[in-house]
Amino acid sequence: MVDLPVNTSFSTLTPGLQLAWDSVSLGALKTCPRYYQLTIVEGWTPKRRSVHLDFGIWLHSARERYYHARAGGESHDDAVITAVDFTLRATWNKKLNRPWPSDDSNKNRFTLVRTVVWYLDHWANDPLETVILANGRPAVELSFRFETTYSSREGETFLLSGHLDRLAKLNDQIYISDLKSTKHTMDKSYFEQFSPDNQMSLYDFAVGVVYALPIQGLIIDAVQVAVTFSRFDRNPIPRSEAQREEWYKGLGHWLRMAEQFAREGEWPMNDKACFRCDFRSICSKPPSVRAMWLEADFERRVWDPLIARGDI
Amino acid sequence: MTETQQSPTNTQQSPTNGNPLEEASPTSLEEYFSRDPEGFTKQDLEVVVKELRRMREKWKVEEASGATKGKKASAQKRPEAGSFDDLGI
Repeated sequence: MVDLPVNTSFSTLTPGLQLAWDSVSLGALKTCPRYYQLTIVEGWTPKRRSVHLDFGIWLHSARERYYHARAGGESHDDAVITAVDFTLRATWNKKLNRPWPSDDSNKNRFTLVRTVVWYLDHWANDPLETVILANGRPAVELSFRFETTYSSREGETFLLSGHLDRLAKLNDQIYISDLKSTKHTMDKSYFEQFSPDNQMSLYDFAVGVVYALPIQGLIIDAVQVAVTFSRFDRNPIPRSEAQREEWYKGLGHWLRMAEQFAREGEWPMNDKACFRCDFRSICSKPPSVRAMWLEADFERRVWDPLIARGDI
Repeated sequence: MTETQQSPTNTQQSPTNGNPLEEASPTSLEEYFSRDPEGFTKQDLEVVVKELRRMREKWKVEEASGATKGKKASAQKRPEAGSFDDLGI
């Protein structure tokens, strides 16, 4: 068995108690405490990495390269070349001398590069203006971490952390712009899924705390990736102060529950959340054989919100 | 990315001998995607981008004529809570 690094986001006083939370771990807890136990506390993940996760990370990274190139004075065309160059290299496995082997007809190396070019051209004259930080760098792929007002029974402070895609200005108002890719049509119900939404609410709350900026809410920058085309659309996701307070109050309740589960060493199954769950094959087996099946079908990694990236 | 016109290691297998921008085609695009991008020149990357842009223009024409599958979301009703109409754009 491979020795895993220590997960620095967990308490050293209360085993199983996470102190630093990001939207992935908080979302896992809210979905199902057992799912949270398996993916975050124990770190199990399917042996085969999700093509959607890889696709999303590379799309974000390519766009980040473009914004930095533009902020550095490159023309649109040159910055597109920079982004394409990055994407082609990132998706080439030098060790095996082969491209990223996605078997997904919608999300693969070709549709990724195509999406990068089409997206950047589509928004070449973007009405959203990337905020430039005091250090002169564009406000893209920003990491944040801050202490909440909540603490454990041992007195350890809970933290929130994460990575923001982009802070952008529109009509002198500041928004968090979050890039999402989907193979589905970007209709009314697609955008409605983000309100309410754990990840978006956490980001919205965080910007008010970390950057002390008067955020109007979020703008979902959506990309539909199909076999033969990539399509783009955006929609604002407003948040009010009352909604922020409600979300933060709810966070306190969830953290209390997390502490309770950790102290009891038991994370109950939410059997109303099993549809399309990676661990359905595990939880559907008798408890006595689950560990054996986990070892066979999954592998372990450390999900540490203080260092991880992959919340897309 | 190499800024030179054509990297020496690429000369033998590059589909872009001559004027690469004139030779862009789906065949060359496929070949580019099957190659290690390490030796790509700026011209190689321009060929890739140009071909993808040509595909986009073709798709836009097809979509405008209603030839593509899938509903165009922008033509549909937006969520009531949160519309760019509210922002005046």
